[in-house]
Amino acid sequence: MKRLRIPPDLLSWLGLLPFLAFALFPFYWGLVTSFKADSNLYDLTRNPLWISHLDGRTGKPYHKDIIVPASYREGPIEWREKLGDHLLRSDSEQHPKPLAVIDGQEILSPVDGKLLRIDVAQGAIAHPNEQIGDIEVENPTLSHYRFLTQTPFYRWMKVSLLTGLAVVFITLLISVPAAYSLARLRFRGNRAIGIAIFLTYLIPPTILFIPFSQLVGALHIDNTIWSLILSYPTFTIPFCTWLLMGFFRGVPREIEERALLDGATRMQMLRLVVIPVVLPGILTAGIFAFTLSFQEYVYALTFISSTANRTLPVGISVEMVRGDVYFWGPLMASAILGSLPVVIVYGLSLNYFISGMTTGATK
Amino acid sequence: MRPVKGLPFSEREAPFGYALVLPALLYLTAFIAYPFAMSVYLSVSDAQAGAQKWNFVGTDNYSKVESYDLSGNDFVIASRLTPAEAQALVDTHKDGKVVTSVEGARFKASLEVGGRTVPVFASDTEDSAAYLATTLLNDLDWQVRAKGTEAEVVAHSGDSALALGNFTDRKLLDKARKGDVLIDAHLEVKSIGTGVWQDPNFILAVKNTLKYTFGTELVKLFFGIPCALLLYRKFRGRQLLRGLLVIPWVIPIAISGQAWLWILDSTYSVFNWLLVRGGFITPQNILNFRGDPHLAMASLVVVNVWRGFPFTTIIILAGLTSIPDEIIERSKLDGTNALQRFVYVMAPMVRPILMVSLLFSVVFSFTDFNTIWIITRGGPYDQTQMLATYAYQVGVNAGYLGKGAAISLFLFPIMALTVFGMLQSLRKENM
Repeated sequence: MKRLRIPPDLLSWLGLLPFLAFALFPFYWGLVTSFKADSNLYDLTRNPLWISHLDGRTGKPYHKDIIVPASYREGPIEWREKLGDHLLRSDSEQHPKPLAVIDGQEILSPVDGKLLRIDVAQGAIAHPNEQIGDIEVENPTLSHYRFLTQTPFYRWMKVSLLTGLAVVFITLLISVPAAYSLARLRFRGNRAIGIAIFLTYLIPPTILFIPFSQLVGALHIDNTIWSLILSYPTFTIPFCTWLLMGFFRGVPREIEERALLDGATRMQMLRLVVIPVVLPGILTAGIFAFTLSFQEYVYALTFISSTANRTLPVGISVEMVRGDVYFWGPLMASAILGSLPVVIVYGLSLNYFISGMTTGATK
Repeated sequence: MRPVKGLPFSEREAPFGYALVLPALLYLTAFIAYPFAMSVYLSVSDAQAGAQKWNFVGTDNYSKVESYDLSGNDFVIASRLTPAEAQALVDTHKDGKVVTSVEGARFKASLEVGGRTVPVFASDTEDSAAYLATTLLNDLDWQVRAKGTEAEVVAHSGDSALALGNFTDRKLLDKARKGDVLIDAHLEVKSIGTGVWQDPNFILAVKNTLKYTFGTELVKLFFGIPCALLLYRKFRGRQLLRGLLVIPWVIPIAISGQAWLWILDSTYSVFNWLLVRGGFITPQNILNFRGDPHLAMASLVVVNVWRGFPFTTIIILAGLTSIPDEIIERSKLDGTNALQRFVYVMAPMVRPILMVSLLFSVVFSFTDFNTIWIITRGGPYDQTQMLATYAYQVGVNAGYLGKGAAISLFLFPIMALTVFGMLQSLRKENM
């Protein structure tokens, strides 16, 4: 009797599927949310897992009434947009264009969409609280992403990227020589120093943030990016040194000795012979330093108090919530865009990353 | 530095070696050893944020944490009733409902009982207000109390039912008394004990931290081992799946946590939608994930597992990959099946690396601040506070640097034990 053979590829995919679904669901959920117009987002009658163009209650496309604010004076209406014109949500633009003007008072569009109906004709008198027209809501929409330009989102992104790059630079500058020395050179205290550096990785920011905030205050760098550039290497240096030691141990001793016999100084030998060999390791360490600092939260939350200088994770989680109102659309849009830098870095270097983990963890 | 002629190769390495490792040593001394020492120093002082002078207070921060308890109080729900009205209110209060509304920048929770709306609590978060009001409604003992010819209804708090006042310091307590309790409760502050072990909030934080750490580790292994074994096999798309799987671990939790907040939203939670859709619950009693202490804790555990299991997977996978192919092949020739190969050949070889991953993961969870701060902020009403967040609350938000430092230092003994375990396991591996 022949046994039914499931192709091994399919078996692996099937086995991993539930885990992948669990791992990726929040991203899927965030992605779908970030493209939903608010009227769809808060419509409980619709399947929330997918974007719906039709209102669950009426079965018609989502629409938004245009109503004259109660505080406006009555007056003749001057329409600036024609039926069928595409409108942009006003709070997502620097200089929003009014869709109509009543006696010098601007009517702005609350959503992205199409002007569907005009109830008060050009030149007729419009009254406060009166419905003057209707907008067909655009769904899916990019308005949440456009809204981000009105927030300090890109400024936070810049702070995070700059901090990350500076930390990578400082970390490598200090860790590479230290790792080489500890992995390769024989001197008294070598082993003890190696263990001590490794152990400092285990004193986490959650123990250090209170005294560190005092230190940062004493140096007068609180509320600046320098407080982060100074504090982040406290966790990147121990980790990267430990990781790099594994790579340096893998370099054959002979090539060093040959370089020395050829008359190179030790510094030249390190720079021209050893470092090129461990370049993949240095790259891995750099990736780790970047992502660790990109992910950091406690220090950034404690040291930085002004909105403009926040890092991306703190900015999104603290500043995107106004009072108690969560703007889920823009929040999810910022979360999706905010994860891109690390996803790209990992996408480009996954193999280095995994071999780095392997080397670091096994050597 | 010129090598000294005539010395053996290894002797000449020392100056160069010290020179290369010196910057790292200086940096770590200045920014880890010094702050750590400062933390110890702060923890024996009465330092407060903004204060000019610090005084030495010995071990007071450890041994004399003042705590106040508001239990044993009566919250007056309604007064000036006829005895019959009062009795009716008590009899029907179990049918009451908790309603929250926004008031300025705060959330107000009211009870709708017997046809009246009684505002009871205001809080910074909807979850806390709802939690307190629910406790008041369901867990407290509602009684009729005669007052002259009239009667009033009081909700009597026993000794532990509504631990409303697990505040570690006066400032928070006063704030709570002024801002949070709207109904006319006869609040009496009493100090209950002076030791840190009698501070209910601290004990809760320790318990929560232990639950959070050890409750998640087994689950991470339970997910990580099958994932690693599946990814160890060679198949088309392996690289892609491996890449997708690590995503939760590489994205900052403060960012991905926003998606979780939206998943756990009190009104629009997708879980609630699925549960209602599947007919498990009705739309009237949807789950308030962040408003119920048990659900909030469970949510934290799920998010921690979600973020941590990819790391466990990758580490185990690294261990599996480092097993020489010949060993696997030879055991295949010996006629073992896949399970036997896993239990007798692969597992023992992966064990050391598994220990490393486990210990890293324990350290990660134990000192985790971000997940808790993002998902529950220690709420509802401090019920999911852990050591790291509690230290932040006391040390930074309330400004009691000394106490905050003392609380965070309690993380240290556990860290030290973990480190010891890690060194032991690494040493075994080296032998």
